[in-house]
Amino acid sequence: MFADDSKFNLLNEISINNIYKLLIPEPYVGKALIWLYDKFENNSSPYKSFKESDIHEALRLMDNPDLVNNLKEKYNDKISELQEYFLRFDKDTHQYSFQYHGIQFFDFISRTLKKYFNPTKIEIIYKDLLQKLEKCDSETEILNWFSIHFDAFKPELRNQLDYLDKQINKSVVEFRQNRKLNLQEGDILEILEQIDEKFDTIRKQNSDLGNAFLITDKIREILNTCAVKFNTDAVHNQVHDATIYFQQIQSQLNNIDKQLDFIHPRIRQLFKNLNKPFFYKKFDKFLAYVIDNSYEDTSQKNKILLPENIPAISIHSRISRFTVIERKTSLFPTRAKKRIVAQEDIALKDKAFVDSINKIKEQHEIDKWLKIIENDVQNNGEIELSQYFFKIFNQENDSLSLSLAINVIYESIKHFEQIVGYTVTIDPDSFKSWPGIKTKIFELWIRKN
Amino acid sequence: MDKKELTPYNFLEHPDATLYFKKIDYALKNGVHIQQWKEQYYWFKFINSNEESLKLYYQKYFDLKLENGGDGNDKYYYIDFMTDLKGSIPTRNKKQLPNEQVIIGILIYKIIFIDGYLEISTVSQLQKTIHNEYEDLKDGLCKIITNTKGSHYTQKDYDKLNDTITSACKSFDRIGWIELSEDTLHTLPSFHRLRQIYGEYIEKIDDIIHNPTQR
Repeated sequence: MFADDSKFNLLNEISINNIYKLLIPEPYVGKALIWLYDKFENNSSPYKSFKESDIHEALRLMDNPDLVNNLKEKYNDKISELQEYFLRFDKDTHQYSFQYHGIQFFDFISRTLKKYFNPTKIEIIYKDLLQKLEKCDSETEILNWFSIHFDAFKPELRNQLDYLDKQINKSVVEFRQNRKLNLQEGDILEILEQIDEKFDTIRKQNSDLGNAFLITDKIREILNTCAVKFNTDAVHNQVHDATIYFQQIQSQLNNIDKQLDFIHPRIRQLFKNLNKPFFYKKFDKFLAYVIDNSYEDTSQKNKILLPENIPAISIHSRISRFTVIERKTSLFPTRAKKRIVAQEDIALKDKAFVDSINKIKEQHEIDKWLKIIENDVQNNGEIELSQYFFKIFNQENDSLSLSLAINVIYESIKHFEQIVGYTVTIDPDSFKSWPGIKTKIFELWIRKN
Repeated sequence: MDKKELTPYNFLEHPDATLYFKKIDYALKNGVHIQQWKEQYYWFKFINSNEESLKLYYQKYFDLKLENGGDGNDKYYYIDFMTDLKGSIPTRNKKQLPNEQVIIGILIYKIIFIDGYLEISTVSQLQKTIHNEYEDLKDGLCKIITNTKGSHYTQKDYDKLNDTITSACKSFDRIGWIELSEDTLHTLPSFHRLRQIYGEYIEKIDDIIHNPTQR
């Protein structure tokens, strides 16, 4: 494994020199290696080694079997190249054997091609993964679990699902090809029965795989606990990736089931089409006849008519139309509004009463004084309004007197300024005062013109 | 249980009548085919248990024929509006499936149930299959549906053909021949009604081709 995976670029690496050629051999060399792999590596014999003459034999057979066995020179370079990744030469015994890359390479290919399905194996691997995960106690152990055990297993399950998916597709394509061969009814019936059985098997296999997959619930549970326990980006990223992987697998399992759900009944229904000889041919003729002889109605644009002797299909439109006036349940009956019942506070009520009475009293006093002032101006031709301020202050002599005096002065100024024939004079340079009263006031005069 | 006399209203005494009959009646009269599928499963069971009484009911009061097709798990019920008994269906309530949709229906039947494209599960897959695998029929289809004279098609022609395929699927969904859920398409047992309707014409297609004016 590279120290830093993010810097590794497969295409760049494989493009250096002739690494591609060394890793992925040309067809006849590849086939020769497979011949050797089958004969020596992939069998029960404990002897996994072979001689150079075996390699020559394999290459000759796959290159051109008719060649006489004197091409040692031609193959020598090849054998030398193969020692880079595929073969190992033991200088002591002068024997060849397969390298790890070679074994993995052909093992992978044979698993891809083999009718390989083993949900029990998946279940065992899952249980093993679960046990290993349960033993993880530190962040490093968790991260190792991901990189060593989990990553190595990931392709296994996907491979199994791909296998099922391929089986379904292969079966329907095979069936279709047989159909096109215009086989006899009996033969096609037999093929249909075979697919039918095959689909039953695939469904069973998918469900076995689904059951094996159930263990992952426990794995996911532990992973989520780990994400909380070792709260680091590295763990979170791995848990996130694993969750997505499990979700993808789950959806692939569901998809296989769904695919079977609609294909399987169709197979059963296909049997029905097999009970009449030449039915397929006649159906094709019928369809071609309908397509070729349908035409657009001359009296009604865009209306297609079937050939005269073929009836159209009547379906019923709605038998009745109801006019429905919707009564929205959310609007009727109108929802009662909550009544606010005020709690009576006697003290507050009394205070409010006294305040309002005082307001009325004050207004009454203001009016009284305004009348006095008006009379005095009328009688005397002019008055010094400032003097009334102190008059009111002294006369009323209660807590409200200042407020009353101020209000009377303001109201008077406002009143006389608005009336034509009177002048209000304010002298801001002259303050008027009264013995015993702290408040001072500008000198104010109201004069009749 | 005593064997009761068969009447056109026996079925109303069935314990499930209040629950299902209203829905079944609307569905049947709207041309829906009822089979053992999802919610229809219970409707199907109700019709199945009261078949004779219901048949009498529709015949006596509406001059309509309650029929069935398919067998076993694939059995389905429908009202046959193709044979108008005594011409009693009011004209304004009569409706025909647009003929271009009928043609698309026959084509879908061929693609899936004759040619064995069993894996088709979406409308888009169906459209793609028609475009790619049925070149020989496409010329004819385009001539009828898009009114194309030559053999060169424009994007508009393709779109129109695709639209017709989609609207045909929607119509079939309404009458219970297929189940359509967004793009996903699931053929139901009653899709075979199409074959039942045209069975006799398919059988005598050679005669029809040679004597086109005769039925």
